[in-house]
Amino acid sequence: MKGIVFNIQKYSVQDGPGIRTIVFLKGCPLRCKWCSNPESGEFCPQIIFQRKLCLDCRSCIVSCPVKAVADDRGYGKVIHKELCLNCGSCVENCPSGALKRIGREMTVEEVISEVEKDSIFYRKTGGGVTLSGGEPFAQAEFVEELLGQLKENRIRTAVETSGYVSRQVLERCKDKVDLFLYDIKHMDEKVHKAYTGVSNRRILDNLKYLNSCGKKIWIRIPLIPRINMEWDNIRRTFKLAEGFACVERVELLPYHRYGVGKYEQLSMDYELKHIKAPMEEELKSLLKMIGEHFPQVKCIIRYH
Amino acid sequence: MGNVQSLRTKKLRQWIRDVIPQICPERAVLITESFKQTEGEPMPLRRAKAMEHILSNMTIWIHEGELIVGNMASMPRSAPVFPETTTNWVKEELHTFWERPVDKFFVTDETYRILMEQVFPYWEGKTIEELAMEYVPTDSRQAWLASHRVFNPMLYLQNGVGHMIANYHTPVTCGFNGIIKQYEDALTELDMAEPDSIEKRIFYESVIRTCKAVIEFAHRYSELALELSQEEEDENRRKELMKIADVCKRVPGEPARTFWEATQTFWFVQMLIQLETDGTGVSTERYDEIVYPYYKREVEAGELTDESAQELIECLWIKFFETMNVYNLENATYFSGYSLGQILTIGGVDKYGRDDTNEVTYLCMKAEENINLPQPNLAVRINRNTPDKFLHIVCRHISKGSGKPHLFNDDVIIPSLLADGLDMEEARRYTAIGCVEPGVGGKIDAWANASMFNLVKCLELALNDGVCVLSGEQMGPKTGKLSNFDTYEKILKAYEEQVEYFVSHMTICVNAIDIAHQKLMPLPFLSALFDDCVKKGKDVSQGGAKYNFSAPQGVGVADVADSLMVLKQLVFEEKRYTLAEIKDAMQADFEGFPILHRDIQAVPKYGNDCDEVDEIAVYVGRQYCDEVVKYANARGGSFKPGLYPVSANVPMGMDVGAMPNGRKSRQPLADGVSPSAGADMKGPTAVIKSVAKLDHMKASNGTLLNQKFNPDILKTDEQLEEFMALVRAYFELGGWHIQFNVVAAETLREAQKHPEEFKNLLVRVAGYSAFFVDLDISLQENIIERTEQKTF
Repeated sequence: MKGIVFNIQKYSVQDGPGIRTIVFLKGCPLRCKWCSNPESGEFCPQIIFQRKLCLDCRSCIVSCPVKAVADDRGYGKVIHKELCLNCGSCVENCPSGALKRIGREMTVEEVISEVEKDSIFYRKTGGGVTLSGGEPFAQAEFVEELLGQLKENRIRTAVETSGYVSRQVLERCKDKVDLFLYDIKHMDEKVHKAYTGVSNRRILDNLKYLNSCGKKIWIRIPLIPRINMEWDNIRRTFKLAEGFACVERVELLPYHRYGVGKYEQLSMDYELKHIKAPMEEELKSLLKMIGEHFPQVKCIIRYH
Repeated sequence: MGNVQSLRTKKLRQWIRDVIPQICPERAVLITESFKQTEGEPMPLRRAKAMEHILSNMTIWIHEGELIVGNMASMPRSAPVFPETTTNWVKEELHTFWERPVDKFFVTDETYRILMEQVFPYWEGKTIEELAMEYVPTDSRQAWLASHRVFNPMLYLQNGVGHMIANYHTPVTCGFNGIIKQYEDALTELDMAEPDSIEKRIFYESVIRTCKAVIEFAHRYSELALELSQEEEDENRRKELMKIADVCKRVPGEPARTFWEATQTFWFVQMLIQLETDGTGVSTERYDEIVYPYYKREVEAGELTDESAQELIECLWIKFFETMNVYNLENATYFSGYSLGQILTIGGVDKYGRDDTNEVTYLCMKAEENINLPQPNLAVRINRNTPDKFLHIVCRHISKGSGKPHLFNDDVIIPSLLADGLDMEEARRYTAIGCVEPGVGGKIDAWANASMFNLVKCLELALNDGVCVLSGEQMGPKTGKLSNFDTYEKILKAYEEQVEYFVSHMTICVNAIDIAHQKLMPLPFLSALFDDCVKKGKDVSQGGAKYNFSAPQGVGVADVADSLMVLKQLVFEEKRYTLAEIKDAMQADFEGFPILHRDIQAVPKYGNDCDEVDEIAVYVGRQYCDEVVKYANARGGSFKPGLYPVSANVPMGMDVGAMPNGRKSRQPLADGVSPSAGADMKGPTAVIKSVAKLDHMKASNGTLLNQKFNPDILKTDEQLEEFMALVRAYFELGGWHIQFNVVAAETLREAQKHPEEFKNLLVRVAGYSAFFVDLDISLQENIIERTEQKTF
């Protein structure tokens, strides 16, 4: 069984308890406008172009069998997606690494042997492996097998999910997951659809389902100024969290712009150009308000 | 328990931080006067008389607010001069001390004149450096003194030996009068009919004379304190001065009775070792263990509070920083940042193997937080029973970024000392020397840091039939042309032959320097603090210690391993390139070979928990160690290998051309056993796993792992817990030593631009911390480049 993995990140101390290894799986049904991993959207491996590394040697143009690579307005290169066969010959011939392939096929065994290397650190800290993405459950069969293998190897598992997942997949996988890191982006269906491309109905249903199954859940809210940070939305989200016995905590993930450069590398548009990262004071006062209204809910801010 | 710093130590710290380092000619003048008078007498006696002359005549001072006293030079933060080791470079460089890029010292016109006219002319032809070079045979001299060297034993050629740990227990618990008594008894028992006794008598007398001079020296402080107290108007200070007078009247002659007295003896010992010889890396036994009985008794009796104990510790810390020594420009670049390498170790197990962290250990950490100066170079011993509470305090302090303390693993170092032949109780007493080397107070004459050995240069020579690519000299043996290497194993064999050749010549050179020290630099004060000297009737410089080692360290494990991996994979396994193609690219410094350079980058590198290349690193480390241990040293002991560079990986990189791992010509080598800068792509856990694969017990003079962390991932309590786990895991996996720089690259860049605003920014250099702004520019760059571990 193979999946498309675009990164394996060790010593992660942000996504679940302890020292963890994050396996990033490619492909996501959502298109959140603030996404800091835009390379995770599509399911197949992709080629990115980093302008600042380009030597302008034209090896890519020469090597492309279908002439999908071309000069971009006098400097740098552009890949015409409609022509590209994704054969990778431009990447192989690029001397500087300006062209790079994101995502590669890995077997469950390959992933396991990489993540097993850090088991001493999981053991010492109650850590483990977190599957992230993209939407990990979108590669359902691969994820199911990987989670099963991790459990068999006595490695604790967490999945960071958008919740936009078919119920059957959740049913099959839930018992192999020790912790769900569950994103709630907006409580309002219309706004949710406008900024992520999908309705939040299924997401909220699935959350209810997981809670009813007694699964341990940490809710995560990406805090995007002017989109979901207003008190009404935050209040509704916390109200929801408060009502679910299995939600152990809510983590706030302040918006950041570290992913903006990747949009250019992927020849994608970044639509939230006008939005700035929230100020420290804003976060503090928000945290204070949450504490006053929802003293029962454990709430933490996670910085990138 | 809060951490309150007294106004006194705050003021002292401020004062000492801003003192401008100077050269003090006083010691040089006094030793010269004495040596002129003792021409023709046996050398041990001449050294003892010189010490006596220095101690009775040098300027002493007690600064406002000081509680612990004892100074090495006529002014604070001034370096005394040791003309007996060398005068050549001092003569040449004296006028540049103030202008040079690193470790600047101010030299007044008067000092310059005194040294040039009254001191240096006398020492011509009488120094360690000159005699040692006479002892080095011609072929070894050639192997050594190439324009781009493989090995460099310069430190002990141009400085005293240092790098040892004396016994601090005996002077504290028995006093120097106790030691004198031992030596007097030995003298009485000498059977003068035995031919050995002739020299033994001289040795014993030299020790007795020196110890008596030391006691008198302390009495001078007692008198000075009394004088000052009579003029003092502030009632509190007047009482303190009278107390200092009492303490120095009593110790170090008599056994200490109080925490204060024990601390004062501790300082006198530390300081006087460094006044007798200009050796660096003079390190201590466990301070927290030595003073604990006094602390406990007094606290229980209500005679001492934690606050006053901590204040005394902070005063001691400041004395460590006040001490100065001057290196020549080359060594100053190797050990940049006024690094004296005075390690003070705390924590660890007791002689029964139980964890021995005590209240004083915690007070020392508080003192460290408050004082936060480059010296003492604080080391903490960690073992599997070290309380999490203590490790948490240590890690929290590390996370603030001063690079201190650095951490040592009892569970590996103790067994490695047993393998060196020490007994269990001795091994459990170990503390750290200089950077990462293990010592046992009063037992091991370590000669740690005896030489640097450039492993990467050996690979360069192996790939060029013994010819240095930078100078074109035939430096090493002819181990075969590239065209003969049709298998990977043949390259390894050529590399091994180069290492064998140079290790052999290095040991000869180190031994020659050793013999020069034996002839010219007996150390009666230090000998008094080495347990077996009295029994053997031998000065420590002659092999009087129970264990005698000479320890040169190999540098560049990662560069060699990564380079060999590139050749193995690209040339012999995948056959994508020929050796000749790779050599062409190296000759061109990879200019015009972008695809090759890129393919090299893609080959797995040491530091990413990839077994295949890590195994090569294991081999590189082991091969060097196996070679070094074959040789005997000049004091009846053996050579002992280490794998750490101090900060020499930067200047040593200047001696090496481009390498197959893509490292360009003259760039820094990898630091310690850490991965090459930027080669570790998988974060700190992978680095730890890779580095732990090396045979740390075999590299029994120490290995050094440097990890740089972004402060962002050490903010919360949880993250700190995970950081602690990282340390525990590394030590469980068998690592020797680990240290951290927790400072953002942006901060360092800022400090380069505005040094005046970052005067207090301490960073970890190698085995020591230094103020970032004091470092050589290339070393600053190297520190910035070391991969900053950051996850997101």
